[in-house]
Amino acid sequence: MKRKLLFSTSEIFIVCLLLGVLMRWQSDNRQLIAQAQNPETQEVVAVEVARLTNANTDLRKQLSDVTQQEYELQQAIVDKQSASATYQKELDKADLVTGSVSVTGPGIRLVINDSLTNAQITDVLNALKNIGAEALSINDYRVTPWFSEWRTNLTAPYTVVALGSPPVLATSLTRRGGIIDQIELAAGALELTVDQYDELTLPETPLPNFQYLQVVEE
Amino acid sequence: MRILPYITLVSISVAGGVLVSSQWQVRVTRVVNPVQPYTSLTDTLDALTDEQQRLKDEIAAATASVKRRKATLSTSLREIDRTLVSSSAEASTAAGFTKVAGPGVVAVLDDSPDGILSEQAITHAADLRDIISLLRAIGAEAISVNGERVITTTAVDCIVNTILVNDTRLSNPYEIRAIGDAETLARALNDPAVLSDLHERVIQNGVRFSVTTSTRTEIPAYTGRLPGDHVTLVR
Repeated sequence: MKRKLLFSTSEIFIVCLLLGVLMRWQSDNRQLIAQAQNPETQEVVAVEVARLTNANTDLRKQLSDVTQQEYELQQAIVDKQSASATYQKELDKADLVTGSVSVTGPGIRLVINDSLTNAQITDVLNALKNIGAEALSINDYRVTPWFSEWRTNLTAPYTVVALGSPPVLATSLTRRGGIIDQIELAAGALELTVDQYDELTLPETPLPNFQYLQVVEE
Repeated sequence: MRILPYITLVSISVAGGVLVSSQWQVRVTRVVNPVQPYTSLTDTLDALTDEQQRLKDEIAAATASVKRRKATLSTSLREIDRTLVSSSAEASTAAGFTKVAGPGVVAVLDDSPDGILSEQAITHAADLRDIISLLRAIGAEAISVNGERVITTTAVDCIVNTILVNDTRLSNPYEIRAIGDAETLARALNDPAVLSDLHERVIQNGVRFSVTTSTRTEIPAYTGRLPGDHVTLVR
């Protein structure tokens, strides 16, 4: 005589399916909780959030400036006198980035008396840009979109002038875990000074003659 | 008597018991919901990333509109100082404010696709910095990384395993475009004596690095924040 099964195959299938879903859910939750309870992961995400918040604030300002420029141009099309002023403003922004005009402002002077590798010089300049330096020079060479420490053959002592907020630049540069600390950790103590100034001036450098790039009209 | 259903039932019960007890074990004593602060943080990160993209798109659209209005202005107003107009256009191109094209190279850098990922087998912000420095040294006229135009104030940095260029989070593979003499650029990038650390990791640890020349590569305009809060031009 055939005995009746306690559960049908389809019932067992459904229970197993539910169990599988629950186990997957459990595994996902465990992973999420592990991430959430790891202070390092939290800290990394928090740093990214802080950085993006600042970057977006700057972008909103940039958007507001471009929108203002858009408005001024429209006015200039109607009002001929404001046209020159609009172009001058545009030229000023570009000249600041290209380094083709001398600039002045508050900032810091970093002098490193020990010899550095090109990679270390790259890292110091990159760190200063990252902290918010608006214009830079090293050994009187203005840092431009075409400047490369790999070509310039820089030798010690290195005098880096960075324009921006002096306390922010100075403290970020020399704080524990900052770029100087990192280089010293790898290469030993450096003989250096960092001084803050209300006004420093950076030299100008001519624009290169472009041979290859062309503007894409949109 | 068939025992299979009973074995199945016992297995399900045991698995259920493990599940319940494991759920019980992950309970924390103090924080009511430890996941919520973390998920809200990651949600914020995603929202900010979306906002950054939206802002960049809006800046690009407004910049394009500015460009169109300038074109209207420069052609229609004879009274405007023509030197100023052309200087402004030339300086904007040089600064990276316009989309440009020309011959050059496209280099792609990526983590090792297999094996155990070690520090040596992944790409670093320092690799990108070295490549940019090299490209500048050999005459690249414009450079971008994953669509981010490299200008004077561009910083290439990382937060653990995320690389940021112009404060924008980028993910691998990293595509570096450069305009210049294509052969010169490619030769230098492929020279194992120049980017020695990177080339060594390509051979030893499987890091991927390829360079192709191009007769025409496009590089987008810069759309990030501009300096100018602390400095004054001395004309």
